[in-house]
Amino acid sequence: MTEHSDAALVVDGLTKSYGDRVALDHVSLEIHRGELVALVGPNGAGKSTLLQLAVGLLEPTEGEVRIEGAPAGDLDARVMCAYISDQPSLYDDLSVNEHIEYVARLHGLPGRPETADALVELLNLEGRAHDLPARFSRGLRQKTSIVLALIRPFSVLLVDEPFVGLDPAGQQSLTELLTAAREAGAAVVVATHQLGFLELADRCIALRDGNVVYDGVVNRAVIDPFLE
Amino acid sequence: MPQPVVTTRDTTRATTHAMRRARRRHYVSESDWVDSLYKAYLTVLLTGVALFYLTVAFDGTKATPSTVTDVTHQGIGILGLAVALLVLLGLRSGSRGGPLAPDAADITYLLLAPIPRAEVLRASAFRQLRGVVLVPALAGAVAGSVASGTFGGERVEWMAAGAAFAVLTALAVWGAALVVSGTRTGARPANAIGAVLVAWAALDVALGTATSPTAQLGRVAVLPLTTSLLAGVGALGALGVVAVALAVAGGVSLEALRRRAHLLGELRFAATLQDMRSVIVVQRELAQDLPRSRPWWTVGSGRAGRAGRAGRAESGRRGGTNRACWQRDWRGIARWPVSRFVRVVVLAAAAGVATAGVWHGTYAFVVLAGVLVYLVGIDAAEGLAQESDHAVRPQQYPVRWPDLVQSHLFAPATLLVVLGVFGLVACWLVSGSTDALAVGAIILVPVAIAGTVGAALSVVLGAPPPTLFLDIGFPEFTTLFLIIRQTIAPLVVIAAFVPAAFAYHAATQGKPAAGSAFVALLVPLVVLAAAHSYLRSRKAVHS
Repeated sequence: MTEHSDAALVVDGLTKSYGDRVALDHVSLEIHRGELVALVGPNGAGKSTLLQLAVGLLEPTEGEVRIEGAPAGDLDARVMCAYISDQPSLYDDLSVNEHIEYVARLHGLPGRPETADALVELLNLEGRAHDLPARFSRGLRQKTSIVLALIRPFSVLLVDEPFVGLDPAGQQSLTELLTAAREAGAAVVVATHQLGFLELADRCIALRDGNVVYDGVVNRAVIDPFLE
Repeated sequence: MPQPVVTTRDTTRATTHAMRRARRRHYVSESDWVDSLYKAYLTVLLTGVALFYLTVAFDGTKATPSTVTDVTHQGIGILGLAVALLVLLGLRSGSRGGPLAPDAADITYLLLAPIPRAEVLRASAFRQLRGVVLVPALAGAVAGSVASGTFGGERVEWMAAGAAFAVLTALAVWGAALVVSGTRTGARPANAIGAVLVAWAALDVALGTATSPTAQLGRVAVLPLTTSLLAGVGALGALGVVAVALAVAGGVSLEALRRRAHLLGELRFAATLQDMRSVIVVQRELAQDLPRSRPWWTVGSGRAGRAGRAGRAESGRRGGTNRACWQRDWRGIARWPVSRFVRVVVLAAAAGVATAGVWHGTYAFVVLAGVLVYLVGIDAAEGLAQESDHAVRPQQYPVRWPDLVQSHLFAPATLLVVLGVFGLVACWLVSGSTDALAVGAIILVPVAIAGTVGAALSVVLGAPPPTLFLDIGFPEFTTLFLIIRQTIAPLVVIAAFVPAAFAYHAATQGKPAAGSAFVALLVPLVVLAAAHSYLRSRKAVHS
């Protein structure tokens, strides 16, 4: 275990099993601040499982994840870690603005954060800010959940299939937000099937059958065979 | 880098209160008050009808002094056994995640926020307690009112005792589930604790004693007949379990909460659509009642290939379809988890006990017996239900949908006959009457067929179509139509128990019970013929 690692996210011998099926098999890796990492792999490789373990939504069968030194899911880790799920969950009976206000207060922010308006504008949600998301499309729900994840400070950002359902403008805006988070010093991990996104990443981690099969610089010639 | 900011308890509370106020405001503004009034009207109407029916059905005879003595001595043990069985179910539920089920959004925003999770979960448990207490209190009071008619005494006393017993039982069950999930106790220890409680309570029943912890709760229900300080001990025990549950609520696994939140979202949606099949499927997932990867036994090994080839060769012929469906259905049954086998055996035995209740003169038990067998049928008709779930696949078979439906009835009907033997034995043991045994044997096959056909009707009917208002022509009758639609399938099964009531009536008149049962078989046979021809009239899945 890297006790004195300066990595923002440390994964050590992480294993997750569902009965006989091993979703993640003794995975170890470190993600540093200011690093944008693309997590790739075919369906069922363990990408979402890894992110959900890191955010504390799942409990490891073996091994551990640390966010800024704190065990994943602990109070201190939750302060530092932002997460965008591939399945946006929203309250159907709270407007977008009410969501923002609520989430900001839960994170101890006084009033509406300044970043909220910029995010709402960037993701083209201004006209829907007072609407209830019950009748939102998948893309609008995804945009709302992106805003809610990014309105608060964080040092680790975990993002699961964020481009699904987004229009081209939305995809572009999200790409800008992810690179901006890296520039601000956050460790950013993005699980994606969008191979175009790899060009922006500093590093690529390929998973297959719950194992890390590649961890290094982005090199499509090397990575592509792992994705088949 | 952000500095750790842990939101304080007061801020958390104020924030969640503000959120709930906002949600309530939106809910009220989105609601249609006419619709709400109509729902309230329907609830009051149906509750009134149910109360009237219960009073008429169970308020028949006054208990003799010897019956009162029996109930005082043995009733406590029997109630203790019932409570122990419910606590066992609670413990099992707890080992699979427990009673708490927040919204999916609560998990993403509330439980992943830097706020003390235990506070949030405890508050959620407190809110859930209201619901846990309310319905049992009403049901217990009604049961108490009915009991006062039989056993005499002050109706208010009986109602209070009934309500207290039901509430304390619900609290004990809910608390047990939350203690297990909060302490993350595994399924085996949870089942073991439950089994010990049930065995102890069963021993009490067998020996005519009342020493088990759950029997002390049973004493609360019969307080109007006999007062005992031990009833207070039972009540304190139930409240103690709740106190421990609230103390450990913060330990509930987020993974389990998330799984249950997702499934409960699906369950609510399916219930809104009145889609019984989806409700059952999601409930099975919630209970982790999933097919085994390895079957208990192999079906058609050796012959399977031949049958499959034969099935393809004569795919247009009834024999091939029957054989293929028979084999497919038994393969599905061979993968049932133990819990499903236990459930259907218990339900079948309970149906037998209910039939014995009919034999003791309470005709209303016909309804209970029918509903129990209908539930067994729903489990047994899984093969047909799967065809309905994947509606595109049957359309590609070179087999007509009515023939496919019919071919899927043989295996479940056979299984129901086998399970019916458990019911028959239970009926005989409880009634102690060979006449009851004979009548049970006479209705065994019709009941098994009715259970299968009733379940098949449910499957074939599916969820009401969104165009229902247009289809029936008279929107005013939509609610009535929906009620009939949901009750028609269980009614088919209930009809199969009618001969038991006829037979008992004949026996009280000094006429041969078995002969009357035979004659009365005409009722279920006519109903079954009608149901079967309706099933045959369907052209496609859910058409």
